[in-house]
Amino acid sequence: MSSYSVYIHIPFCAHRCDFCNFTTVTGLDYLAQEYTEVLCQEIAERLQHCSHPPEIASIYFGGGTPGLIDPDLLCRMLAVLRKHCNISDSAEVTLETTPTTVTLDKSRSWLRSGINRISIGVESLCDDELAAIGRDQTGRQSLEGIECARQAGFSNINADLLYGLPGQTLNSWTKTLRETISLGLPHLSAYGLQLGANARLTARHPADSPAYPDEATAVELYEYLVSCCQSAELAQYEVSNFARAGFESKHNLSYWTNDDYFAFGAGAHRYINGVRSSNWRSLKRYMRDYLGAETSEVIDEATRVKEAIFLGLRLRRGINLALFARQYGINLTEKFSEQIKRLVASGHLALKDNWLTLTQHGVLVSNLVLAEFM
Amino acid sequence: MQAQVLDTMDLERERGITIKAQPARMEYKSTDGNTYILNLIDTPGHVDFGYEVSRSLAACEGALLVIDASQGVEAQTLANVHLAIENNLEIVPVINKIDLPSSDPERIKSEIEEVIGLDPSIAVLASAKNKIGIPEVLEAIVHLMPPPPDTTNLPLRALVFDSYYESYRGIIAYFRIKDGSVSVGDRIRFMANEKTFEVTELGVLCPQQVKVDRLGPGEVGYLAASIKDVSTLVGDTITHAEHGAPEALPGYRPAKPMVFAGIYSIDNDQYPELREALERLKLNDSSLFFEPETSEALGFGFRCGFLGLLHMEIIQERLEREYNLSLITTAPSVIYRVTKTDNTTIMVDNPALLPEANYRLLIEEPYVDAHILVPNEFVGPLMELCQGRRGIFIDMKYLDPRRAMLHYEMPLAEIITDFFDQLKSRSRGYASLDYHFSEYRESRLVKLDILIGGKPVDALSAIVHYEKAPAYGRHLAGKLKKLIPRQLFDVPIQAAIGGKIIARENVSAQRKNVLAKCYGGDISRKRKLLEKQKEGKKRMKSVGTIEIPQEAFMALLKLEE
Repeated sequence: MSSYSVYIHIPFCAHRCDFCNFTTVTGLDYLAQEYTEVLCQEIAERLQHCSHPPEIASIYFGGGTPGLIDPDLLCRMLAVLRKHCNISDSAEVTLETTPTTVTLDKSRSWLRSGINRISIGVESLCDDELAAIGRDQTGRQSLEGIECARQAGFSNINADLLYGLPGQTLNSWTKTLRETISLGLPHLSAYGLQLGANARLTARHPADSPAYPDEATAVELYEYLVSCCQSAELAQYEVSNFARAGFESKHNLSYWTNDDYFAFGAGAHRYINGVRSSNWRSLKRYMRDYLGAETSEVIDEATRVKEAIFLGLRLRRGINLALFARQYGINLTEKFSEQIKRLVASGHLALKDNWLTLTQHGVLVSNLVLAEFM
Repeated sequence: MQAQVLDTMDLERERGITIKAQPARMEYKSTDGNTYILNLIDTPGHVDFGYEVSRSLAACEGALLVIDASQGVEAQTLANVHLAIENNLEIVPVINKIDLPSSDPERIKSEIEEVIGLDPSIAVLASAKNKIGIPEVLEAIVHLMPPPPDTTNLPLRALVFDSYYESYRGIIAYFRIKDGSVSVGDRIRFMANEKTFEVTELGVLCPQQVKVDRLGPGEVGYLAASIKDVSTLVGDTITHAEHGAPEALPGYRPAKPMVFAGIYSIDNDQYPELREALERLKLNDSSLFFEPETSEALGFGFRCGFLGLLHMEIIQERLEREYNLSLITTAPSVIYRVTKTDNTTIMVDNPALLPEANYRLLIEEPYVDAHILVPNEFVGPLMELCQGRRGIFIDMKYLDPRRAMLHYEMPLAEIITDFFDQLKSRSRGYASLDYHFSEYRESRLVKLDILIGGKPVDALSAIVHYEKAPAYGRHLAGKLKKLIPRQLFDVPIQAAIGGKIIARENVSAQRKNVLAKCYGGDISRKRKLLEKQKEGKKRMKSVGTIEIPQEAFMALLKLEE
């Protein structure tokens, strides 16, 4: 029987970063209790119709800053989930948070409630870069936060990094990367900075501003990231994710392998029985109408195949053609013979032993390569 | 009443110009106590649509010459006056827009006398917008223009001056009766087409269609007769199927297209729709010429002939709007006369088809007589413009103390790029242009090829003067570099004459374009981003593995930034 992932959105933040384009709120922490009650109600109502309790392999508290709210509230959400689902003993339960929210006490509470993985938004260890993106923390605070989580007993820790920041150079990136890697964490994520149209940072430095590293530098940053992780035995299992063997994020993998997932909380997206839908992003609106959908899309077979391709190719192992043919009834090398032939010849894709994979060259321009299959 | 009521096309309203002649009939009770039926036709003024004007004039007894009270007489005003005089029409000048603060009717009156040579005392001062001078205009028509002769007893002869296609009633013909009369139910014959139909509907244009049972001499109207499978009606004479007139009316000289361009559907599957659209548009615009052609880069399409650049733009826009097509129009070209080494002569309307240099003896290109009416202060800049476009100065006349008429002989090819835009921008909109084909002349012309990704793109070839070729090649390559988006590969762009590369540019490959974090499971959003990227590609033409956007094929149009 198949298992599911669960995404739980906690929108509260102590401070809104200048690059943020997400569903977050600041200064509304007093609503956390009420929000938790609504969210628990949502879990109960959405899951009560299941004929038998779904098997859960991964739970992810994303945000926002889930670490900001009282750990007891997270505990209550997990308790309601346990009531309606079978959460496997080996389930990955991740909490996303900022370094400054991590204390010994909190970390212990998180562990007690069943959270066994923590993902810390380090972003950069250079204070001027952190200031440039309006991130309310210092590099030192990140190191302290991670240390705290470790002392409390977390071993499965991810550090989230950002590259392409205003003022970032290969030198400063090297410093951030080396220091982060020297901590010996089992997982590292590094994303290119994406500018939301309405983010404050975009107003200060529009996308074409010389404040950002130029394209050639951005390529260097990415290439350095890949080689640095490689020598630290953090395998690149996805375009932006690196892990020691056995520490790949189950939650991320469930997205890339196009599995079904539940989602609860403001603005959260779920994918269940071929329908992707999302809750209201507005906190107030969600709390009034927690079963209402802001968006809902029936994923038909053709779309499901498209998604399987672009998600599958994000994984560095790529797509197993035989498995794909079994799952989707489609022989990719036939259906996309022209594209595959062309992109293999140009060195953007590799086709080997029944696996279709982005090459390192292809990863760098993956948007263009993946668009060929849409 | 709606403003611009006779400009029925959206395109006309948006641009504030008249493209199609539009008939309108009205009853008018004159101050002399009689009621008159007036048949009027509103015509375009732009030089490109002279053909539209000439057809209308052939159907009339008189003409109202409408002159802008601020702009005054323009180059094309003179051209249209000459057409009216050739047709023996009574001309009444109307000075319009006298309500504008910048208007100067007295100055315009002196222009009418000195520049056109008409009696300014009969000129009517009017503002159509503010309903000033309307009765005076109507009285002038009644009293100054001759009524059509009564020829009721003669066999029917009616001249078709316009037509259009309708899916329900078939082709609708607009005509003016010269002799005789026609009634619903009559069996009629189109004399040139040699086809016979039964009139199912007859009417007048007020300007909307109003059904009547019978129309007599001098009247303008429309008819429907389930007409299908006719390619051209305009210029044909309608008579009765039995006891018809022995001789047709003189038709129109067929319009001679001066400017040629390839028109292709972006999606090659739309080729049949494009063909049908062109056939139907031709019924409504008899000056349009088209024949199938094939391009390596663009696939199946049509080589189309137009009366001028504006006409070309209008046709493209009408095809896209009225027939819902997405089109690529290649850069316009004139028609060249090429003498080959075997002493045969061919006409080349597509630069891609120019024989190689070693197979041709000489190339001749069409020259025009260009007349530019320009305020004194802009004479310098416009002479500079004309010299830069290989113009040969003939003379300059001062029409009045403020304005000069420049006369140049120019290669038509130089006019159909962005000459008109330049003319307007260098004279702050005050200069006007009229031109007529004069003759073919030998020129030192070369074929410029554009290679993208090392392969020549036929649709981007151009025939240019040898002296201008290097600068033109560099400019074009630079422009293409800006228009072609960065792709997965480097895209080299080269301009070449014969085998010699005269300019090169490179669109460097995109080096980094990585998907961001899938935030909160929002995979739909990521997918839509990728789909959008793919959609963008669909609007481009693939030449080999290179995607070239639509605008690139038009890059040759605008030479100066």
